[in-house]
Amino acid sequence: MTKAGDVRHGRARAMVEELAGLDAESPIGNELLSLAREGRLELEHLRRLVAVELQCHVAELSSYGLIMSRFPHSPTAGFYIEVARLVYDAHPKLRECGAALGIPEERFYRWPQGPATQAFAGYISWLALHGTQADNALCLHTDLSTYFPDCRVLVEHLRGSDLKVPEEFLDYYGGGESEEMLRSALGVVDHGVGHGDDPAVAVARARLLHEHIGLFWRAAAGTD
Amino acid sequence: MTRDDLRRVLRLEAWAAQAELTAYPLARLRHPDDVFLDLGDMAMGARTRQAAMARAVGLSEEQLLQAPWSTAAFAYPSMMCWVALHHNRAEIGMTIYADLNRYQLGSLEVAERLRAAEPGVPQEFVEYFEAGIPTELCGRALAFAQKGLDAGDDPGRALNTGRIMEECVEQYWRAAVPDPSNWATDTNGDERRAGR
Repeated sequence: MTKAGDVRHGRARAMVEELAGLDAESPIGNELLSLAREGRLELEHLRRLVAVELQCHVAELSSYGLIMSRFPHSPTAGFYIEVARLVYDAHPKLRECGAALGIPEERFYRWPQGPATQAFAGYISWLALHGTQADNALCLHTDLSTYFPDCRVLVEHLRGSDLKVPEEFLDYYGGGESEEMLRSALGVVDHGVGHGDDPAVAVARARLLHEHIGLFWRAAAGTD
Repeated sequence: MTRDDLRRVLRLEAWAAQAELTAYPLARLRHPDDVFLDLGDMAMGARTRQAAMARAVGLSEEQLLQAPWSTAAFAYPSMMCWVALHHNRAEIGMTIYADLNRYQLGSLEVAERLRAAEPGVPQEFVEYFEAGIPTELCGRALAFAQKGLDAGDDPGRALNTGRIMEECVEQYWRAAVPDPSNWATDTNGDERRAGR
């Protein structure tokens, strides 16, 4: 995740390591990947994944905008402009995945419903309203560095399976996180901690974000 | 009923009221209506009473606002913020109705148990849960939802959102029950995930 020899953002990196330690002690599973490993993954699960993520995008765009309005300065605003752009550009592609998988347009943003589907959207809304710069950026770093690798594992699995998965889906979920964006996130974490944000609280909130990503995958798996 | 049980539920209450104090004004900013002023009064009143309850069980104001770090404990405050930030009037109205209605049922039950557990329980706790929420607010939340429906908000979506809030309130009460996987220590005011 980080370039060897890169000594910048030492404090933020220590916080990322602390999170990795928590995850090693008590791993947060991915129930969609569990289904894949058990050979029980069906196209319906992929439809659920796309549909859950469409709902999350809406929350992400307004949460990132809200964070920019709370912290309209460098480096925080610049970072969220980048992240919001990533989500904004991804959204129409995700809608294409949904269409290619045969989700009827009228179900977009309405299905599936339930606490697990709403959990991630809710937590990032709460964070955008209440969290510090360090909280939010460490959460985003956790999001990027846990979501994308799992997506790649999913795509690898699907390419080796008999499921007829649309190319749009494989392209969308086969993409990856940007190293530059991960570094920018750490820069914002350091900036926040340097301005008084509590690093222990940020780690606890990022750990909780990771648990909410677990709920995101659970909503996709339909096991909630 | 131990002192730690009381501290745990009080912290959840304080945490919920804090989120409400953000969410209600935000909802009012997006959809101006006086119901949010009265909801805000309710949340402020709760915060004031919580301060007295905290003193009765030896929690400082700072300890009172230390978050319980579990997805169950965050289900309610998160949903409240998400709905206030994104949803339409019918959805917000139904969500608040579902919250008040469900919470009231649980609150009265908690009050009953606390009364049965006396004298170990400070009177402030019994009175707090007995008081519950001002009953007319349920009707006003529904009236607010109706304004949205009259203006074309989707009733199916509003019903769904309210249903999810009911489940969040269930999770809220579940979070008040000690769970070794969620609560590392209750004694020193430093509740963190196990392992921290």
